[in-house]
Amino acid sequence: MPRHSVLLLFSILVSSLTPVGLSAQGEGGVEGRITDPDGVPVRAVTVVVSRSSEADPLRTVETDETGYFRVPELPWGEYRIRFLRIGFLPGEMLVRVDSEEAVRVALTLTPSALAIEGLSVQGERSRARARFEDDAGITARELSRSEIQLLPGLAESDPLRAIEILPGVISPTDFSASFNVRGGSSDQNLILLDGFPLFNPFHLGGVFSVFNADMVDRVELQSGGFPSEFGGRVSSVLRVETDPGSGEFAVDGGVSLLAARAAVSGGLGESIREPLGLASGRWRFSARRSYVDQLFKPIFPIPYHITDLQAVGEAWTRGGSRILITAYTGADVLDLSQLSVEDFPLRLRWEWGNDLLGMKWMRPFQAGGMAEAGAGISRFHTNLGFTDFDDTRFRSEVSQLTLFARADRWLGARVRGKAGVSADRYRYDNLAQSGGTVFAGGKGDGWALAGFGQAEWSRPGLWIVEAGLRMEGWQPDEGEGVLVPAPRLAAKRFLAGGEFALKGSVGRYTQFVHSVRDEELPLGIDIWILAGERAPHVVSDQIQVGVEGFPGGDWFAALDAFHRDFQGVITNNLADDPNTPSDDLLAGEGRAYGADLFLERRGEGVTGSVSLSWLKAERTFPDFLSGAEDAPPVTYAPIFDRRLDLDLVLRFPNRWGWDLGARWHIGTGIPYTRPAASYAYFSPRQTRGGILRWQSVPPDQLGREDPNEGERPFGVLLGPRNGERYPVYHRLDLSARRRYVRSWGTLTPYLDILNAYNQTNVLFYFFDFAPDPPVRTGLSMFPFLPTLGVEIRF
Amino acid sequence: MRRGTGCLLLALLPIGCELAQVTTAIPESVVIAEIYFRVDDDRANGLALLHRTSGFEGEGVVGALIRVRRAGGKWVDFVQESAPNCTEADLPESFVPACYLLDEDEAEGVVVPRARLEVEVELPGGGLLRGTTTVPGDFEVREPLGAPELCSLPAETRLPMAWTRAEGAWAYFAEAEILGLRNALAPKGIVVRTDPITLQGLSISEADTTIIFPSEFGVFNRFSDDSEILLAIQDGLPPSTNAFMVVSALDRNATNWVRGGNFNPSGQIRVPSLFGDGTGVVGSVVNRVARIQIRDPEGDDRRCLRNPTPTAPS
Repeated sequence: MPRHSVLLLFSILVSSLTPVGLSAQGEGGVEGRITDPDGVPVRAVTVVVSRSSEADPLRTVETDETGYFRVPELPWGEYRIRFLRIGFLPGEMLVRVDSEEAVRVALTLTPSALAIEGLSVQGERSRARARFEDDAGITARELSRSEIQLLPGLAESDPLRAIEILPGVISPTDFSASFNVRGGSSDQNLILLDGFPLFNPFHLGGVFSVFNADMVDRVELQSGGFPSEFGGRVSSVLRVETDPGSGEFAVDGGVSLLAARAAVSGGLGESIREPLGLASGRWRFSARRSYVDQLFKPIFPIPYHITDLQAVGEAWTRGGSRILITAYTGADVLDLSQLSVEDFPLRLRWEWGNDLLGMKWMRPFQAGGMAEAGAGISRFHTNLGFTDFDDTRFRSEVSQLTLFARADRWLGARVRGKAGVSADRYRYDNLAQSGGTVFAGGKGDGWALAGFGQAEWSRPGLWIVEAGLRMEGWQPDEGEGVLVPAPRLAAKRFLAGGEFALKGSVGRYTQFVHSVRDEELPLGIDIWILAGERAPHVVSDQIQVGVEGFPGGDWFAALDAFHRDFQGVITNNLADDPNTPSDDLLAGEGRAYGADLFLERRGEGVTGSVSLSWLKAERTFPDFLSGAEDAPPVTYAPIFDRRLDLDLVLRFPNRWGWDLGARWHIGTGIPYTRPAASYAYFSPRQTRGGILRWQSVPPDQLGREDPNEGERPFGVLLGPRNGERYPVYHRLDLSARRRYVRSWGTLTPYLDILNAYNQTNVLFYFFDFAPDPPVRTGLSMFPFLPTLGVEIRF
Repeated sequence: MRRGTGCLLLALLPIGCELAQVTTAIPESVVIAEIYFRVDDDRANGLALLHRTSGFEGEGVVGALIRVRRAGGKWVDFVQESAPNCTEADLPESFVPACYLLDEDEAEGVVVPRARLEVEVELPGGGLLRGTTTVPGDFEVREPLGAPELCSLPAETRLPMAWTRAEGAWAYFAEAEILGLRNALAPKGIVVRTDPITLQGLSISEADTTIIFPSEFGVFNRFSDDSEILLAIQDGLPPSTNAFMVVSALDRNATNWVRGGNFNPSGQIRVPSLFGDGTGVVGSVVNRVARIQIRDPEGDDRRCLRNPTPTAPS
């Protein structure tokens, strides 16, 4: 869709939403800050406002990171305000609004170790409501730790696997937790741990994520309509927030078929707080390691293990500032170097992992809003070395140093302003070398400098309009710098008494890093490069319109339609000229459009969600496989172009003493390139006068008795690129958890079953044209796969 | 033990299951033409192998007319020969490709370094393939000394091979045929199945004009059962062996055809340079040879290196 058409559509949408019933007479408001008994602000408290004479909520908001909330434009009258937050006793107060001045309140919530019946449900439901009322154009869905734990997982709960149930999210194979959002490549997802980026947060080439679900407070996926404060990637933002605990000493642990893990949390004692000038402090630390290598060590070697170490600390100063420190380090190690050649011919050591350290300082403003600054460093590295051939090396490293500062405050009764700056230093270094030859590689660095300003105007229950501008600058060490203005505009119009809303957003997004991983491989590690001489930067113009609301009771429904284009996406040029270093990547463009429907029930009893996504995605690149010197363009559906994708999730809490969960996923087939034919694969032998040889794999390597039965390689002629599709994919996963409460704590055994009815979902087809008639075999994804584990908390 | 370890490694991966075999549609019948022009030290020639895709091997590729000319020059024709002139003789019986050669008399003055060659293949049943190739520039081997004549290298010594640039080359493919390893390695208990063995080395780009023999050869064999042999010769060849080596400067087309394209689970993908009613490659190579015998070069004026130093065991 041409850009001007996108803007025109958006203008029509906004102009058609004529405001009605605007009146400011006899209105006031309530605002205030919620703290705990130590004076520490409590974030994410759901504030439910209702008329004192009515039970139904009139407005619902949520406290921000500073514990501040604001409910403007309430007609004069008396109101009951309830304050809900897991881990605290509910609070309630009556407030009379009888002037245009906002009534200021302050409340101290009392912590409670006991679970309050229904509070979690109310909190989650109200939280969704608060987001609905606060956000303009962004599409964000979140999952709490309890929701993640009730989703069937591979061996254990996985926050990244969990987001596959959200609308617009595609995971092309069972083998990878890597995901695609609304037609974007997987490297276009910004994955943030407490606000700091992680480049490749996966174990085992993508099978598991690095996140320990015990440490996660909530996961939020922003799949479109990002306001101007977000930059760095163009497709989605996944925010993983760590739970620093309540400040009381507690231990969460678990054993699954994958790993053993423990998370310990506690608070800072007075002897530490006092000299540091802290009002409070709490921390949480977790360790996770796979154990099968140690378990079977006396019997036979298992040369692979994973480790994750994660820590978070949060402290409030007496002056009212918040300091957050978050850290993560993890590694996968595949060490075949200790095996003898007789045991295994491939003696290698391969390790990869992420390291992250981040720190944020935040100062609340008295009248709402805050100033925040932070610094962090994130690094991903992989190194593959061979014991016997030290001239064969594969390594990749990428790092990002992040500095940022931003402020957010109310500029008037209806206008909120945000502004900020950031500076990111990226660096990468990749090398693939063997036999004295560098097959691929490159290194470089660059600065990404950004500044943004954003204004939000709101009429509660009627309108939210958000306009912002983000200026993105990129200066690589090689190549010319760029400055990209990235305007963002969003509007939401509430209807039906605030129960429904129409919304729309339009914006430009940029990205200066790419992964060169081939997404058509089911497993793999991202190899990152920077925009510059070798690769362009990505510019994506996006528009989305939608309707969302609460059709009744505990139900929330949302329908978004979107269009995105992507300029500057890349692919590997496998026919590059080795004498031209700048042509090993090919620049192209992409396009995606579709619609996402989300229906969710949160409340008492059975809960769950339905996500239905329709997507059409395409990529256009020069077709290097054509062999033509001036390669013609080829447009094709990328592997993540799953046209229809339906996720049904059901949670049955406390059913016969068990918490039960089910996920049924069905999607139309993803595209693949079908071979049209195969042919004998000859290689010239120059030591024999250039004669051609159809080299057979020696039969003894195949374990065959007939020495004449060697297997010969074939080349394949391809049909249209990704012109065919695998069959429909579907799978039912089940989970069952039972919690045993004992005097010392709780014990929760669980059973997860993936692919409960053993559906054969196709991973690959193999076409073999040599037999007569030709045959097709293949490999399936996960078969019926039960796993079990246990969690402990005390 | 070995198989057990391999299974355990596989068990670490959540592997899927093999799908049931089903018959599939008859594939397309497509002509595959593999045409190479070769410039050696003392002669030039051309070789063309025509075959068809699986299920149609050998059909309608006999009797083709293949011709080549320098840009704007006179066409010269390939002559059909028996298949063993183009291919090694161990082809399956059902597979009968058609072989065509351009002899050195016809190639003289046409197939020369830096020539841009136009090729046409007229198929017997109708149909035409066309392609062009630019022959890489001439080059000469600097080390081993005296190449292409036989030279002597001490045992257990690495030979840093070096040559001059071949203009326009995309890659250098070095192939070594090593004779005598079976007997030389037998005392170490290493079984050499075939003697001579052939190992390949690779240098990418026109400017990468060095490779170390033998340690940087066999990059494609390192993770096979041959790795034991490669390990045994990392520091040099044992006594009583010799090697015949060819360094080939490859043009764009030959490089693309050899290295292939992106991943497809059904087989290798190659990047073609012949277009029309079929597909294939028209590539060109310029070859230079070196011959090495492993013996004490003391007093031998045919030494490969000026100052050979046996490699310290790695």
